Parts: sequence; C-alpha cells; structure tokens
Amino acid sequence: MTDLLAIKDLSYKRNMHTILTDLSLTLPHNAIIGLLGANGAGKTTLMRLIAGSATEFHGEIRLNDETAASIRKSMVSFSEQLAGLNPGMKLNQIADFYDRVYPDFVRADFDKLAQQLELDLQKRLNQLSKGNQRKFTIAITFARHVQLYLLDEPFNGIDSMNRKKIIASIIQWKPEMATILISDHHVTDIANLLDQVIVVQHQTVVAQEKADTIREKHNQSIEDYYESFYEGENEHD
Amino acid sequence: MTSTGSLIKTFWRQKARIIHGAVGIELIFIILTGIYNLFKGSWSDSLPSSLTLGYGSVAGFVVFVLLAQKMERSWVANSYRLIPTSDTKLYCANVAATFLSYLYFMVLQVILLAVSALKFFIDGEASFDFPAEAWQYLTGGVLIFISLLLFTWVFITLIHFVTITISAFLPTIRQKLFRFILIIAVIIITLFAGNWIDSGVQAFSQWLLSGFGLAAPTDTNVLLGLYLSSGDFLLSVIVMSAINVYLLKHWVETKTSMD
Repeated sequence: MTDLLAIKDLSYKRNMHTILTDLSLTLPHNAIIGLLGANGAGKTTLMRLIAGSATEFHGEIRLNDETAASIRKSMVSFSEQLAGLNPGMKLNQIADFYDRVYPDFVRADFDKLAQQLELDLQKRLNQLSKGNQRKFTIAITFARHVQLYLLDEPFNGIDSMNRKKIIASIIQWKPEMATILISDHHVTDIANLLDQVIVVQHQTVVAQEKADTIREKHNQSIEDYYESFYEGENEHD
Repeated sequence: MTSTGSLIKTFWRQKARIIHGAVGIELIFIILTGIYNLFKGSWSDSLPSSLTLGYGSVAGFVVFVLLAQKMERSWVANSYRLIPTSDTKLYCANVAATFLSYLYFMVLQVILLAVSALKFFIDGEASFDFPAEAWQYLTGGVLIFISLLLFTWVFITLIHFVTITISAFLPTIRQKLFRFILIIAVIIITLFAGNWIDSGVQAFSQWLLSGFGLAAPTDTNVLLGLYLSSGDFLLSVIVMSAINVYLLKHWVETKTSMD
C-alpha cells in the first residue's frame, strides 16, 4: 500500500525567516505518529502546510496522491480548524456549522463524543475552560471521518484528568485506517500512544523512527530518544 | 467537497445575524424616538417614515461596515479557509452572500418604510404613479448603488490582500512601522481610485439633482451615463476579483494563534 502522506523537499519562508528547509517525510496509513520538536521548530507550520492553511511553499505535499489544496482539505481534520469562529457561538451552533460545511462530519458521532467528554452544548465557546475548549476541539476534529488527523498540542495547558479523557477519546474514535499526527511538548503523555516518532529540528526532519525500534534497538524510552537530539543545546523544550 | 450552495447558505447565516441585530436596534430606536415625540406632543403622521429613513440610513452604513469586517475576517480564519472547497468558490460564495445579505437588508428597510407609511396608503395619499422615465432612473440608480456596493467591498478585500502579501516579505519586527506606512499608501491609492470612479459618481449626482421622481428627466444622456457607470463598476469588480482570487490562493494565509 502506498503512503498516505508524502512530503518532498518542502521549504517555507515567511517574514524573511526560514521556517522549514528541504523537509521530506512520509506517513503510513493507520498509525499514530508523534511530531516532536522544540518551540519554534516548525511543527505547527508543518501541520498548517499539510492542512492547507499555509499556502506559499516550495516542494510537494502529496496526500493520497493528490496535491491540490482543496482536495487535501477534504482528507484532513486539523485541530486548529476552530480558529476564527465567533467565540460567542454556542457549541451546538458550531456543530451545526460543521455539519453544514463538512460533508464528512457525522453529527451523531459528535454528539456521542461530546457526551463522553461531558461537554454542555448549550454553553458558548468563550464560557469554556481551557480544558473544555480542548475537549470540544477533539470532539469536532474526530467527528469528521477523514484519513489524516492533525492534532497540534492537544494537551497544552490542561490538567491530567482532562488529558486522560482526551487520550481515551483519541484511541476510541480513531477510524481504523486513519493516521493521526500529534504534536506535544509533554512527550511522556503520548509516548504509549505512538507507533512512530518524527523529530523536527533545524528546520527539517532529523529523524523518523518506529516506536518499537526506539524501545528495542536503541533501548531508549521515546522521551530519552527525543531528548538525545537536544543534548548540548540550550533550546531544549 | 462542500457544495457552493452550502457555502452560500453558511455565509448567509453568518451575515443574517448582523442584519437582524442591526434592524432590531433600528426598530428600538424608532419606537423610543416615536414614544418620546408622542409625549412631547410633536407627533406627526409623517414622523414614523422620517424616523425609518433616518435610522435606516445609519443602520445601512453600519451594516455595510460590519459585513465588510465579517468578510475580511473569514479570509484569514481557519474555520472558513479549511472548508474543503476551492479558493475561487469560497471567494465567490462569500462575496455573493455578503451582497445578498445587503439586498435582504434593503428589502427589510422597504418593508419597514411601507409599514411606517401605512396611513398614507390607507388614506390614498401615497401613490406610485410616477412617469415611466422616473422608473428608468430608479432602476439606473439602484443598479449604480448595487455596483458601487460590490466595488467597495471587493476594493477593501483587494487592499487587505495586498497588505497581507506585502507583509509576508517583511521582517516581523518592522510590521507595525510597515502597517503605518501602508495605511498612508492605502489612503493615497483610495484617492486615485476615487478619481477613477469619479465619472460614475458624477452621473449619479446629476441624476439626483434632476429630481427623484418629481421632475421628468431632461437629459437622456444621464440615463445612459448611469448604466455605463454601473457597467464600469461591475467590470472593475470582475478585474479586482480575479486579482483577489489569485492572492487568496497563493499568498493569503490564515492567522496563527500568535498573530
């Protein structure tokens, strides 16, 4: 089976600042992959480029052999897709919005996910705590049935109870052949979830390794493996 | 992929909220001012119509600005830009929904005006018995108003997109200085654009001066001028839209949480 995502020689520059240089990687079907890197390494930018919200790049992004951004958008569910909505909207209004504009959004799944994550759909987005906002983002993201899910730091700034609930939802609601690319600062939180790890450093991918290989061949935990790339550097996250 | 119909409906709902809010506030103002005049003893039969026209004009301007603001925000919002559709369709749907929303607002204003002037209709004092030429002028006036509306929204988008495109090439640290310079540049560009559309506005002014429905038109060239000016505006809308779609596709990115 061909790879789900193939990125070749991707370079991205903005505001006279090079963010990604000659980055190449492939993602398989049916996997949970950790995207690791220090702050400012370019993880979010990489996700934005894959999702289609960043547009001017050099190189090639091929998702299921499609390069057109509009088609890519129909195959990717990005956790940042809520950005720009009116924060005064009620959660069920936002779900209605997604139901209207995303043909792959399954309202029944969203309702189940929201119930499981104990979200009150009558509340407004700006009334939610940070933890509940993250949970809502997960519910919206996974209610779409797509092939690639991009989760950008889904646990950032939330307590361990909510973190566990979100992790449980990710495991439960991942469609069978779908792939999840997940970036996070707390490597230990997601280590047990991961099938593969990608390390972004110096504006490019410096390593892509299976989690089992890291544990068995390198005899390291994923956290130690990731930290080994930053030994002697001050920018360690 | 999301259908164009769903896109227009979605953008329409977003904008209909603005219009309902504005008309609601307008109604409150009309009623409160009416009650005030009633107690003050200065009520007249024509007061409701005058109030509707007065507050309606203010609401029209506010709605115009809010619709423009809403449209510009959606270009840089993930929630809209990540919808699985082409940028061309997204652009057309958003502009069309903005335009249709304003037409809807105008229809609401006509209904309000008709209700406020109900007494004159019942008493048989109001009449639509204008000369045929007056209707032609009215059509021309509406056409030029509509094309001017579209022109202004598309022009605002063009300035927004050009600003974003140029900003992408400048260092982050000088963005504030750059934006200040850009505002000045935009003012200058707007003045040039003002000259460009001057001919259309002049024709419109001549038509207004000829007397709205009260005097028979004396210069048939004015009517032709109105139609030609509308065509001129609409042609500009098409050209600017082509540039806007290109910039949207290649240069206009969504805002990040750090923006």
